[in-house]
Amino acid sequence: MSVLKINGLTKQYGPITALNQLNLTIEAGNIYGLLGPNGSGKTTTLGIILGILSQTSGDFEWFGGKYGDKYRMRIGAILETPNFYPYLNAAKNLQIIQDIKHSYDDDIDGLLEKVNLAHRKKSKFRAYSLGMKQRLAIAATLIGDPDVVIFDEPTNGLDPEGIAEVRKILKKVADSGKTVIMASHLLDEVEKICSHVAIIKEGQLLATGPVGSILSNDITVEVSATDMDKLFKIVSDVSWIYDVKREKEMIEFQMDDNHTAQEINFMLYKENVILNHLVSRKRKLEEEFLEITNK
Amino acid sequence: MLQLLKTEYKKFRYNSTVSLLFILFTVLFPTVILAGKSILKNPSPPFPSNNIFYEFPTVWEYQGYVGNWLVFFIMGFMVLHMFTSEVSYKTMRQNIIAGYTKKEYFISKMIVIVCLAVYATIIYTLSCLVLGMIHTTGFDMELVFDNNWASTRFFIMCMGYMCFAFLVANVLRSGGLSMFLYFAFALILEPIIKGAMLYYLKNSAMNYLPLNTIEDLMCMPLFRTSSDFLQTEAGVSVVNDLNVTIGLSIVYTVLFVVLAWVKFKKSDV
Repeated sequence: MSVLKINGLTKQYGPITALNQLNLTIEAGNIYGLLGPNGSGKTTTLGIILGILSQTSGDFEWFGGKYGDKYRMRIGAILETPNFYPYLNAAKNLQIIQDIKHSYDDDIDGLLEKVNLAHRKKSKFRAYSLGMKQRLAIAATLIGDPDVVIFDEPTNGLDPEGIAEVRKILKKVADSGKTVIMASHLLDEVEKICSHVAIIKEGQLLATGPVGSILSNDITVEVSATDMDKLFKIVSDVSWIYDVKREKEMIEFQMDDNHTAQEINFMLYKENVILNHLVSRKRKLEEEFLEITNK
Repeated sequence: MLQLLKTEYKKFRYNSTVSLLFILFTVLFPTVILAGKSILKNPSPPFPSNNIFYEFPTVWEYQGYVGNWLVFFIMGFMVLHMFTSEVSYKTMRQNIIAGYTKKEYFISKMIVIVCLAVYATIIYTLSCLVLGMIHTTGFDMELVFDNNWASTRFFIMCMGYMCFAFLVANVLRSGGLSMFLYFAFALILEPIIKGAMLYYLKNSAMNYLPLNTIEDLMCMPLFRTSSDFLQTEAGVSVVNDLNVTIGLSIVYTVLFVVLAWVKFKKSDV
Protein backbone atom coordinates (compact mmCIF):
# COMPACT_ATOMS: atom_id res chain seq x y z
CA MET A 1 0.00 0.00 0.00
CA SER A 2 1.39 3.43 -0.87
CA VAL A 3 1.46 6.03 1.89
CA LEU A 4 2.42 8.88 -0.41
CA LYS A 5 1.85 9.55 -4.09
CA ILE A 6 3.43 12.61 -5.66
CA ASN A 7 2.28 13.53 -9.17
CA GLY A 8 4.05 16.11 -11.30
CA LEU A 9 4.96 18.37 -8.40
CA THR A 10 6.42 21.69 -9.55
CA LYS A 11 7.50 24.68 -7.50
CA GLN A 12 8.60 27.98 -8.99
CA TYR A 13 10.24 30.75 -7.00
CA GLY A 14 9.97 33.53 -9.56
CA PRO A 15 12.18 32.51 -12.47
CA ILE A 16 13.78 29.67 -10.50
CA THR A 17 12.32 26.19 -10.80
CA ALA A 18 12.98 24.54 -7.44
CA LEU A 19 11.03 21.42 -8.33
CA ASN A 20 10.21 20.21 -11.81
CA GLN A 21 7.47 17.61 -12.44
CA LEU A 22 8.45 15.35 -9.55
CA ASN A 23 6.73 11.97 -9.45
CA LEU A 24 7.33 9.65 -6.54
CA THR A 25 5.47 6.88 -4.75
CA ILE A 26 6.42 5.74 -1.28
CA GLU A 27 5.17 2.39 -0.08
CA ALA A 28 4.29 1.64 3.53
CA GLY A 29 7.20 0.29 5.55
CA ASN A 30 9.87 1.62 3.18
CA ILE A 31 12.83 3.51 4.54
CA TYR A 32 13.23 6.12 1.85
CA GLY A 33 16.38 8.16 1.42
CA LEU A 34 15.94 11.44 -0.41
CA LEU A 35 19.33 12.36 -1.84
CA GLY A 36 20.54 15.39 -3.69
CA PRO A 37 23.12 18.15 -3.58
CA ASN A 38 22.37 21.40 -1.74
CA GLY A 39 19.58 23.29 -3.45
CA SER A 40 18.37 20.24 -5.34
CA GLY A 41 14.80 20.55 -4.05
CA LYS A 42 14.75 18.03 -1.19
CA THR A 43 13.53 20.44 1.49
CA THR A 44 11.11 22.06 -0.97
CA THR A 45 9.63 18.63 -1.67
CA LEU A 46 9.29 17.90 2.05
CA GLY A 47 7.87 21.39 2.69
CA ILE A 48 5.17 20.85 0.07
CA ILE A 49 4.17 17.38 1.19
CA LEU A 50 4.00 18.66 4.78
CA GLY A 51 1.68 21.48 3.77
CA ILE A 52 3.89 24.42 4.68
CA LEU A 53 4.76 25.37 1.10
CA SER A 54 2.29 25.56 -1.72
CA GLN A 55 3.17 23.95 -5.03
CA THR A 56 2.94 25.81 -8.33
CA SER A 57 1.40 22.74 -9.98
CA GLY A 58 1.00 19.03 -9.44
CA ASP A 59 -0.45 17.28 -6.43
CA PHE A 60 0.21 14.72 -3.76
CA GLU A 61 -1.87 12.42 -1.65
CA TRP A 62 -1.11 10.95 1.75
CA PHE A 63 -2.59 7.64 2.92
CA GLY A 64 -4.87 7.41 -0.13
CA GLY A 65 -6.72 10.51 1.08
CA LYS A 66 -7.99 8.61 4.15
CA TYR A 67 -7.33 11.45 6.63
CA GLY A 68 -8.20 14.44 4.41
CA ASP A 69 -6.35 17.59 5.48
CA LYS A 70 -5.58 16.04 8.88
CA TYR A 71 -2.95 13.74 7.37
CA ARG A 72 -0.15 15.46 9.31
CA MET A 73 -1.59 14.01 12.51
CA ARG A 74 -0.23 10.64 11.30
CA ILE A 75 3.20 12.03 10.42
CA GLY A 76 6.12 13.01 12.63
CA ALA A 77 8.57 15.37 10.96
CA ILE A 78 11.62 17.55 11.42
CA LEU A 79 12.22 20.05 8.63
CA GLU A 80 15.64 21.74 8.48
CA THR A 81 16.13 22.81 12.10
CA PRO A 82 14.54 21.72 15.38
CA ASN A 83 11.87 24.33 16.14
CA PHE A 84 10.64 24.69 19.70
CA TYR A 85 9.69 27.41 22.19
CA PRO A 86 13.08 28.47 23.57
CA TYR A 87 11.72 29.50 26.97
CA LEU A 88 10.00 26.16 27.61
CA ASN A 89 11.67 22.97 28.79
CA ALA A 90 11.75 19.70 26.87
CA ALA A 91 8.71 18.17 28.56
CA LYS A 92 6.55 21.29 28.10
CA ASN A 93 7.55 21.57 24.45
CA LEU A 94 6.59 17.95 23.86
CA GLN A 95 3.27 18.51 25.63
CA ILE A 96 2.41 21.19 23.07
CA ILE A 97 3.05 18.69 20.26
CA GLN A 98 0.87 16.21 22.16
CA ASP A 99 -1.93 18.78 22.29
CA ILE A 100 -1.67 19.46 18.56
CA LYS A 101 -1.70 15.76 17.75
CA HIS A 102 -4.47 15.04 20.30
CA SER A 103 -2.23 12.30 21.62
CA TYR A 104 -2.29 12.24 25.40
CA ASP A 105 -1.10 8.68 26.10
CA ASP A 106 2.50 9.20 25.08
CA ASP A 107 5.09 8.46 27.71
CA ILE A 108 7.02 11.74 27.61
CA ASP A 109 9.61 10.45 30.08
CA GLY A 110 10.05 7.30 28.01
CA LEU A 111 10.49 9.33 24.82
CA LEU A 112 13.08 11.57 26.47
CA GLU A 113 14.83 8.47 27.78
CA LYS A 114 14.87 7.04 24.26
CA VAL A 115 16.71 10.10 22.92
CA ASN A 116 18.95 10.33 25.97
CA LEU A 117 17.51 13.59 27.26
CA ALA A 118 15.75 12.42 30.44
CA HIS A 119 18.41 14.08 32.59
CA ARG A 120 17.77 17.44 30.89
CA LYS A 121 13.99 17.18 30.93
CA LYS A 122 13.61 20.38 32.96
CA SER A 123 16.16 22.44 31.03
CA LYS A 124 14.89 25.16 28.76
CA PHE A 125 15.24 24.47 25.05
CA ARG A 126 17.45 27.52 24.58
CA ALA A 127 20.02 25.96 26.93
CA TYR A 128 20.38 22.84 24.78
CA SER A 129 23.32 22.06 22.52
CA LEU A 130 22.55 21.52 18.81
CA GLY A 131 22.80 17.76 19.27
CA MET A 132 20.33 17.85 22.16
CA LYS A 133 17.94 20.02 20.14
CA GLN A 134 18.12 17.54 17.29
CA ARG A 135 17.44 14.64 19.67
CA LEU A 136 14.46 16.48 21.16
CA ALA A 137 13.14 17.01 17.64
CA ILE A 138 13.43 13.27 17.00
CA ALA A 139 11.49 12.61 20.22
CA ALA A 140 8.82 15.05 19.02
CA THR A 141 8.45 13.18 15.73
CA LEU A 142 7.55 10.02 17.66
CA ILE A 143 4.64 11.60 19.56
CA GLY A 144 1.33 10.03 18.65
CA ASP A 145 3.03 6.91 17.28
CA PRO A 146 2.93 8.22 13.68
CA ASP A 147 2.78 5.94 10.64
CA VAL A 148 5.38 8.01 8.80
CA VAL A 149 8.45 9.77 10.13
CA ILE A 150 10.28 12.42 8.09
CA PHE A 151 13.79 13.63 8.85
CA ASP A 152 15.43 16.43 6.92
CA GLU A 153 19.20 16.43 7.36
CA PRO A 154 18.96 15.13 10.92
CA THR A 155 22.70 15.24 11.50
CA ASN A 156 23.38 18.65 9.98
CA GLY A 157 25.77 20.74 12.05
CA LEU A 158 26.39 18.08 14.68
CA ASP A 159 29.80 17.12 16.03
CA PRO A 160 31.00 13.52 15.52
CA GLU A 161 29.64 12.44 18.89
CA GLY A 162 26.28 14.04 18.13
CA ILE A 163 26.19 12.40 14.70
CA ALA A 164 26.89 9.00 16.25
CA GLU A 165 24.11 9.44 18.82
CA VAL A 166 21.55 10.64 16.28
CA ARG A 167 22.54 7.79 13.93
CA LYS A 168 21.88 5.27 16.68
CA ILE A 169 18.43 6.75 17.36
CA LEU A 170 17.56 6.91 13.65
CA LYS A 171 18.52 3.28 13.25
CA LYS A 172 16.18 2.35 16.10
CA VAL A 173 13.32 4.34 14.53
CA ALA A 174 13.98 2.79 11.13
CA ASP A 175 13.97 -0.69 12.68
CA SER A 176 10.60 -0.08 14.37
CA GLY A 177 8.66 -0.77 11.16
CA LYS A 178 7.53 2.80 10.48
CA THR A 179 7.73 4.35 7.03
CA VAL A 180 10.69 6.70 7.12
CA ILE A 181 11.58 9.45 4.65
CA MET A 182 15.04 10.85 5.23
CA ALA A 183 16.73 13.64 3.32
CA SER A 184 20.43 13.44 3.97
CA HIS A 185 23.91 14.14 2.75
CA LEU A 186 25.32 11.25 4.72
CA LEU A 187 25.22 8.72 1.93
CA ASP A 188 26.99 6.11 3.97
CA GLU A 189 24.22 6.38 6.53
CA VAL A 190 21.47 6.31 3.92
CA GLU A 191 23.06 3.21 2.41
CA LYS A 192 23.04 1.49 5.78
CA ILE A 193 19.56 2.52 6.91
CA CYS A 194 17.44 3.00 3.80
CA SER A 195 15.72 0.36 1.73
CA HIS A 196 14.94 2.79 -1.11
CA VAL A 197 16.43 5.98 -2.47
CA ALA A 198 15.36 8.83 -4.71
CA ILE A 199 18.04 11.05 -6.19
CA ILE A 200 17.06 14.63 -7.01
CA LYS A 201 19.09 17.29 -8.78
CA GLU A 202 17.95 20.76 -9.80
CA GLY A 203 14.39 19.84 -8.93
CA GLN A 204 14.29 16.76 -11.12
CA LEU A 205 14.15 13.14 -10.14
CA LEU A 206 17.22 11.41 -11.59
CA ALA A 207 16.81 7.93 -10.17
CA THR A 208 14.61 6.08 -7.74
CA GLY A 209 14.15 2.54 -6.51
CA PRO A 210 15.48 0.03 -4.00
CA VAL A 211 19.06 0.76 -2.91
CA GLY A 212 20.17 -2.48 -4.58
CA SER A 213 18.80 -1.40 -7.94
CA ILE A 214 20.54 1.97 -7.78
CA LEU A 215 23.88 0.41 -6.95
CA SER A 216 25.44 -1.10 -10.04
CA ASN A 217 27.05 -4.54 -9.94
CA ASP A 218 30.42 -3.08 -10.81
CA ILE A 219 33.34 -3.64 -8.51
CA THR A 220 35.90 -1.06 -7.47
CA VAL A 221 39.45 -2.41 -7.16
CA GLU A 222 42.47 -0.79 -5.54
CA VAL A 223 45.94 -2.16 -6.26
CA SER A 224 49.54 -1.15 -5.69
CA ALA A 225 52.94 -2.65 -6.42
CA THR A 226 56.57 -1.62 -6.37
CA ASP A 227 56.59 -0.89 -10.09
CA MET A 228 53.54 1.35 -10.37
CA ASP A 229 54.24 2.37 -13.98
CA LYS A 230 54.19 -1.19 -15.19
CA LEU A 231 51.12 -1.97 -13.10
CA PHE A 232 49.30 1.05 -14.56
CA LYS A 233 50.20 0.08 -18.12
CA ILE A 234 48.99 -3.50 -17.69
CA VAL A 235 45.62 -2.71 -16.13
CA SER A 236 45.00 0.09 -18.61
CA ASP A 237 45.32 -2.39 -21.48
CA VAL A 238 42.81 -4.92 -20.13
CA SER A 239 39.51 -4.69 -22.01
CA TRP A 240 37.21 -5.47 -19.08
CA ILE A 241 38.91 -2.96 -16.80
CA TYR A 242 37.81 0.65 -17.11
CA ASP A 243 37.93 4.02 -15.39
CA VAL A 244 41.55 3.51 -14.32
CA LYS A 245 42.79 6.26 -12.02
CA ARG A 246 46.35 6.59 -10.82
CA GLU A 247 46.71 8.11 -7.43
CA LYS A 248 49.84 8.75 -5.43
CA GLU A 249 50.40 5.27 -4.02
CA MET A 250 47.47 3.43 -5.49
CA ILE A 251 45.73 2.59 -8.73
CA GLU A 252 41.94 2.39 -8.66
CA PHE A 253 39.75 0.95 -11.39
CA GLN A 254 36.33 -0.50 -12.07
CA MET A 255 35.33 -3.88 -13.45
CA ASP A 256 32.06 -5.77 -13.77
CA ASP A 257 31.20 -8.56 -11.38
CA ASN A 258 32.01 -11.34 -13.93
CA HIS A 259 35.62 -10.93 -12.84
CA THR A 260 37.26 -11.41 -9.48
CA ALA A 261 40.17 -10.06 -7.45
CA GLN A 262 41.83 -13.48 -7.73
CA GLU A 263 41.77 -13.19 -11.52
CA ILE A 264 43.49 -9.79 -11.31
CA ASN A 265 46.12 -11.10 -8.94
CA PHE A 266 46.87 -14.12 -11.17
CA MET A 267 47.03 -12.00 -14.33
CA LEU A 268 49.50 -9.54 -12.75
CA TYR A 269 51.60 -12.37 -11.28
CA LYS A 270 51.97 -13.85 -14.78
CA GLU A 271 53.25 -10.42 -15.92
CA ASN A 272 55.81 -10.47 -13.04
CA VAL A 273 54.05 -7.78 -11.05
CA ILE A 274 53.80 -8.65 -7.36
CA LEU A 275 51.02 -6.77 -5.64
CA ASN A 276 51.54 -5.38 -2.16
CA HIS A 277 47.93 -4.12 -1.90
CA LEU A 278 44.72 -5.52 -3.36
CA VAL A 279 41.22 -4.53 -2.22
CA SER A 280 38.00 -5.14 -4.11
CA ARG A 281 34.64 -3.80 -2.98
CA LYS A 282 31.13 -3.22 -4.25
CA ARG A 283 30.43 0.32 -5.45
CA LYS A 284 29.26 2.64 -2.70
CA LEU A 285 26.08 4.68 -2.89
CA GLU A 286 28.27 7.75 -2.72
CA GLU A 287 30.02 6.76 -5.95
CA GLU A 288 26.71 6.02 -7.68
CA PHE A 289 25.29 9.29 -6.39
CA LEU A 290 28.21 11.30 -7.71
CA GLU A 291 28.06 9.54 -11.05
CA ILE A 292 24.29 10.08 -11.40
CA THR A 293 24.33 13.71 -10.29
CA ASN A 294 27.39 14.61 -12.38
CA LYS A 295 26.00 13.17 -15.63
CA MET B 1 -11.98 25.60 20.65
CA LEU B 2 -11.20 25.15 24.33
CA GLN B 3 -8.35 22.81 23.44
CA LEU B 4 -6.88 25.40 21.08
CA LEU B 5 -7.03 27.98 23.85
CA LYS B 6 -5.42 25.60 26.35
CA THR B 7 -2.56 24.98 23.93
CA GLU B 8 -2.05 28.72 23.39
CA TYR B 9 -1.96 29.15 27.15
CA LYS B 10 0.72 26.47 27.43
CA LYS B 11 2.74 28.20 24.73
CA PHE B 12 2.75 31.66 26.27
CA ARG B 13 2.35 31.06 30.00
CA TYR B 14 6.11 31.17 30.53
CA ASN B 15 6.87 33.77 27.85
CA SER B 16 8.46 36.64 29.77
CA THR B 17 7.40 39.36 27.29
CA VAL B 18 3.76 38.27 27.35
CA SER B 19 3.75 37.89 31.15
CA LEU B 20 5.32 41.32 31.62
CA LEU B 21 2.84 43.01 29.26
CA PHE B 22 -0.06 41.24 30.91
CA ILE B 23 0.99 42.37 34.39
CA LEU B 24 1.71 45.88 33.11
CA PHE B 25 -1.76 46.15 31.58
CA THR B 26 -3.50 44.80 34.69
CA VAL B 27 -1.58 47.09 37.03
CA LEU B 28 -1.60 50.23 34.89
CA PHE B 29 -5.27 50.13 33.97
CA PRO B 30 -6.76 51.08 37.33
CA THR B 31 -3.75 53.09 38.50
CA VAL B 32 -2.95 55.44 35.59
CA ILE B 33 -6.13 57.43 36.06
CA LEU B 34 -5.52 57.65 39.81
CA ALA B 35 -2.09 59.16 39.14
CA GLY B 36 -3.99 62.06 37.57
CA LYS B 37 -5.43 62.83 40.97
CA SER B 38 -2.12 64.09 42.29
CA ILE B 39 -0.94 65.58 38.97
CA LEU B 40 -4.20 67.37 38.14
CA LYS B 41 -5.19 68.63 41.57
CA ASN B 42 -6.83 71.79 40.23
CA PRO B 43 -7.72 71.19 36.60
CA SER B 44 -8.38 74.15 34.38
CA PRO B 45 -11.78 74.78 32.76
CA PRO B 46 -13.89 73.22 31.32
CA PHE B 47 -13.23 70.62 34.08
CA PRO B 48 -15.04 71.73 37.25
CA SER B 49 -12.84 69.45 39.40
CA ASN B 50 -10.75 66.35 38.90
CA ASN B 51 -13.59 64.31 40.35
CA ILE B 52 -15.15 64.23 36.88
CA PHE B 53 -12.53 61.63 35.91
CA TYR B 54 -13.64 59.20 38.62
CA GLU B 55 -17.36 59.63 39.24
CA PHE B 56 -20.33 58.10 37.49
CA PRO B 57 -21.16 58.34 34.65
CA THR B 58 -18.13 60.19 33.23
CA VAL B 59 -15.66 57.64 34.66
CA TRP B 60 -16.68 55.29 31.82
CA GLU B 61 -15.44 57.76 29.22
CA TYR B 62 -12.26 58.92 30.96
CA GLN B 63 -11.22 55.43 32.02
CA GLY B 64 -12.16 54.30 28.51
CA TYR B 65 -9.81 56.90 27.06
CA VAL B 66 -6.97 55.68 29.30
CA GLY B 67 -7.81 52.13 28.21
CA ASN B 68 -7.74 53.26 24.59
CA TRP B 69 -4.00 54.04 24.85
CA LEU B 70 -3.20 51.03 27.03
CA VAL B 71 -4.97 48.58 24.73
CA PHE B 72 -3.39 50.14 21.66
CA PHE B 73 0.13 49.98 23.08
CA ILE B 74 0.15 46.98 25.39
CA MET B 75 -2.44 44.61 23.95
CA GLY B 76 -1.49 45.51 20.38
CA PHE B 77 2.17 44.86 21.16
CA MET B 78 1.23 41.55 22.80
CA VAL B 79 -0.65 40.36 19.70
CA LEU B 80 2.23 41.41 17.44
CA HIS B 81 4.68 39.56 19.67
CA MET B 82 2.54 36.44 19.97
CA PHE B 83 2.31 36.08 16.20
CA THR B 84 5.74 37.23 15.05
CA SER B 85 7.67 35.36 17.76
CA GLU B 86 6.12 32.13 16.48
CA VAL B 87 7.34 33.07 13.02
CA SER B 88 10.87 33.79 14.21
CA TYR B 89 11.08 30.70 16.43
CA LYS B 90 9.61 28.78 13.46
CA THR B 91 7.15 27.21 15.89
CA MET B 92 4.27 28.29 13.67
CA ARG B 93 5.76 26.14 10.94
CA GLN B 94 6.33 23.31 13.43
CA ASN B 95 2.74 23.55 14.72
CA ILE B 96 1.47 23.07 11.16
CA ILE B 97 3.93 20.23 10.51
CA ALA B 98 2.81 18.58 13.76
CA GLY B 99 -0.82 18.52 12.66
CA TYR B 100 -2.61 21.87 12.90
CA THR B 101 -4.40 22.91 9.75
CA LYS B 102 -3.84 26.53 8.75
CA LYS B 103 -7.43 27.19 9.76
CA GLU B 104 -6.89 25.77 13.24
CA TYR B 105 -3.73 27.80 13.72
CA PHE B 106 -5.49 30.98 12.60
CA ILE B 107 -8.50 30.28 14.82
CA SER B 108 -6.24 29.62 17.80
CA LYS B 109 -4.78 33.12 17.45
CA MET B 110 -8.23 34.65 17.00
CA ILE B 111 -9.41 32.91 20.18
CA VAL B 112 -6.48 34.47 22.04
CA ILE B 113 -7.43 37.90 20.68
CA VAL B 114 -11.06 37.47 21.76
CA CYS B 115 -9.95 36.29 25.22
CA LEU B 116 -7.58 39.25 25.62
CA ALA B 117 -10.38 41.59 24.56
CA VAL B 118 -12.75 39.99 27.07
CA TYR B 119 -10.08 40.23 29.79
CA ALA B 120 -9.38 43.92 29.02
CA THR B 121 -13.11 44.66 29.00
CA ILE B 122 -13.60 42.96 32.37
CA ILE B 123 -10.70 44.96 33.85
CA TYR B 124 -12.16 48.11 32.33
CA THR B 125 -15.67 47.46 33.62
CA LEU B 126 -14.48 46.48 37.10
CA SER B 127 -12.11 49.43 37.43
CA CYS B 128 -14.85 51.84 36.31
CA LEU B 129 -17.31 50.35 38.79
CA VAL B 130 -14.82 50.45 41.68
CA LEU B 131 -13.54 53.96 40.89
CA GLY B 132 -17.06 55.22 40.32
CA MET B 133 -18.44 53.73 43.52
CA ILE B 134 -15.59 55.18 45.57
CA HIS B 135 -15.88 58.66 44.10
CA THR B 136 -19.63 59.08 43.51
CA THR B 137 -21.78 60.33 46.32
CA GLY B 138 -25.06 58.50 46.49
CA PHE B 139 -25.80 55.36 44.55
CA ASP B 140 -28.12 55.52 41.59
CA MET B 141 -28.17 52.53 39.24
CA GLU B 142 -29.41 54.68 36.39
CA LEU B 143 -26.45 57.02 36.81
CA VAL B 144 -24.00 54.13 37.13
CA PHE B 145 -24.99 52.59 33.82
CA ASP B 146 -25.68 55.80 31.93
CA ASN B 147 -22.70 55.03 29.71
CA ASN B 148 -23.86 54.40 26.12
CA TRP B 149 -22.88 50.75 26.14
CA ALA B 150 -19.37 51.66 27.25
CA SER B 151 -18.21 48.08 27.94
CA THR B 152 -19.45 46.92 24.54
CA ARG B 153 -17.71 49.84 22.84
CA PHE B 154 -14.55 49.08 24.78
CA PHE B 155 -14.68 45.43 23.70
CA ILE B 156 -15.13 46.39 20.03
CA MET B 157 -12.23 48.84 20.37
CA CYS B 158 -9.99 46.08 21.81
CA MET B 159 -10.97 43.76 18.96
CA GLY B 160 -10.34 46.50 16.41
CA TYR B 161 -6.83 47.33 17.62
CA MET B 162 -5.78 43.75 18.14
CA CYS B 163 -7.17 42.54 14.81
CA PHE B 164 -5.31 45.39 13.11
CA ALA B 165 -2.12 44.31 14.90
CA PHE B 166 -2.82 40.72 13.82
CA LEU B 167 -3.24 41.80 10.20
CA VAL B 168 0.01 43.81 10.26
CA ALA B 169 1.88 40.88 11.88
CA ASN B 170 0.42 38.55 9.26
CA VAL B 171 1.46 40.73 6.36
CA LEU B 172 4.98 41.57 7.53
CA ARG B 173 5.80 38.59 9.78
CA SER B 174 8.94 40.26 11.09
CA GLY B 175 8.66 41.41 14.71
CA GLY B 176 10.53 44.70 14.33
CA LEU B 177 8.97 45.70 11.03
CA SER B 178 5.42 44.94 12.05
CA MET B 179 5.81 46.81 15.35
CA PHE B 180 7.17 49.80 13.46
CA LEU B 181 4.32 49.76 10.94
CA TYR B 182 1.64 49.22 13.61
CA PHE B 183 2.73 52.19 15.68
CA ALA B 184 3.79 54.37 12.74
CA PHE B 185 0.51 53.85 10.92
CA ALA B 186 -1.60 54.78 13.91
CA LEU B 187 0.55 57.56 15.33
CA ILE B 188 2.12 59.12 12.23
CA LEU B 189 0.70 57.95 8.92
CA GLU B 190 -3.01 58.08 9.65
CA PRO B 191 -2.84 61.47 11.43
CA ILE B 192 -0.98 62.86 8.36
CA ILE B 193 -3.65 61.44 6.05
CA LYS B 194 -6.29 62.83 8.39
CA GLY B 195 -4.69 66.27 8.32
CA ALA B 196 -4.37 66.20 4.54
CA MET B 197 -8.02 65.17 4.15
CA LEU B 198 -9.13 67.98 6.42
CA TYR B 199 -6.98 70.49 4.54
CA TYR B 200 -8.06 69.46 1.04
CA LEU B 201 -11.59 68.15 1.53
CA LYS B 202 -12.63 70.48 4.35
CA ASN B 203 -15.25 68.04 5.59
CA SER B 204 -15.58 65.22 8.12
CA ALA B 205 -14.50 62.38 5.78
CA MET B 206 -11.28 62.03 7.78
CA ASN B 207 -13.31 60.61 10.67
CA TYR B 208 -13.95 57.46 8.65
CA LEU B 209 -10.29 56.37 8.59
CA PRO B 210 -9.96 52.93 10.19
CA LEU B 211 -7.88 53.53 13.31
CA ASN B 212 -9.48 56.91 13.84
CA THR B 213 -12.88 55.23 13.84
CA ILE B 214 -11.75 52.60 16.33
CA GLU B 215 -10.14 55.25 18.51
CA ASP B 216 -13.39 57.23 18.49
CA LEU B 217 -15.15 54.37 20.26
CA MET B 218 -13.43 55.63 23.39
CA CYS B 219 -12.17 59.02 22.34
CA MET B 220 -11.10 61.90 24.52
CA PRO B 221 -14.48 62.79 26.14
CA LEU B 222 -13.95 66.46 25.41
CA PHE B 223 -13.91 65.75 21.66
CA ARG B 224 -17.40 64.32 21.73
CA THR B 225 -18.66 67.18 23.91
CA SER B 226 -17.17 69.80 21.59
CA SER B 227 -18.10 68.00 18.38
CA ASP B 228 -21.52 69.59 18.00
CA PHE B 229 -20.05 73.03 18.64
CA LEU B 230 -17.37 72.53 15.99
CA GLN B 231 -19.92 71.21 13.53
CA THR B 232 -21.98 74.36 13.89
CA GLU B 233 -19.07 76.78 13.97
CA ALA B 234 -16.60 75.27 11.51
CA GLY B 235 -18.78 72.83 9.58
CA VAL B 236 -16.42 70.02 10.47
CA SER B 237 -17.05 67.36 13.07
CA VAL B 238 -14.07 65.77 14.85
CA VAL B 239 -15.93 62.58 15.76
CA ASN B 240 -18.64 60.57 14.05
CA ASP B 241 -22.00 59.74 15.49
CA LEU B 242 -21.55 56.98 18.08
CA ASN B 243 -23.74 54.45 16.27
CA VAL B 244 -21.89 55.07 13.01
CA THR B 245 -18.58 54.66 14.87
CA ILE B 246 -19.68 51.36 16.40
CA GLY B 247 -20.98 49.99 13.09
CA LEU B 248 -17.96 51.11 11.11
CA SER B 249 -15.54 49.76 13.72
CA ILE B 250 -17.18 46.34 13.45
CA VAL B 251 -16.90 46.51 9.66
CA TYR B 252 -13.20 47.45 9.86
CA THR B 253 -12.50 44.71 12.42
CA VAL B 254 -14.15 42.07 10.24
CA LEU B 255 -12.19 43.40 7.26
CA PHE B 256 -8.89 43.11 9.19
CA VAL B 257 -9.69 39.50 10.09
CA VAL B 258 -10.75 38.58 6.56
CA LEU B 259 -7.63 40.17 5.04
CA ALA B 260 -5.40 38.48 7.63
CA TRP B 261 -7.00 35.11 6.82
CA VAL B 262 -6.65 35.58 3.06
CA LYS B 263 -2.97 36.49 3.51
CA PHE B 264 -2.32 33.65 5.94
CA LYS B 265 -4.07 31.07 3.77
CA LYS B 266 -2.12 32.08 0.66
CA SER B 267 1.32 32.41 2.23
CA ASP B 268 3.88 29.71 2.71
CA VAL B 269 4.43 28.97 6.39
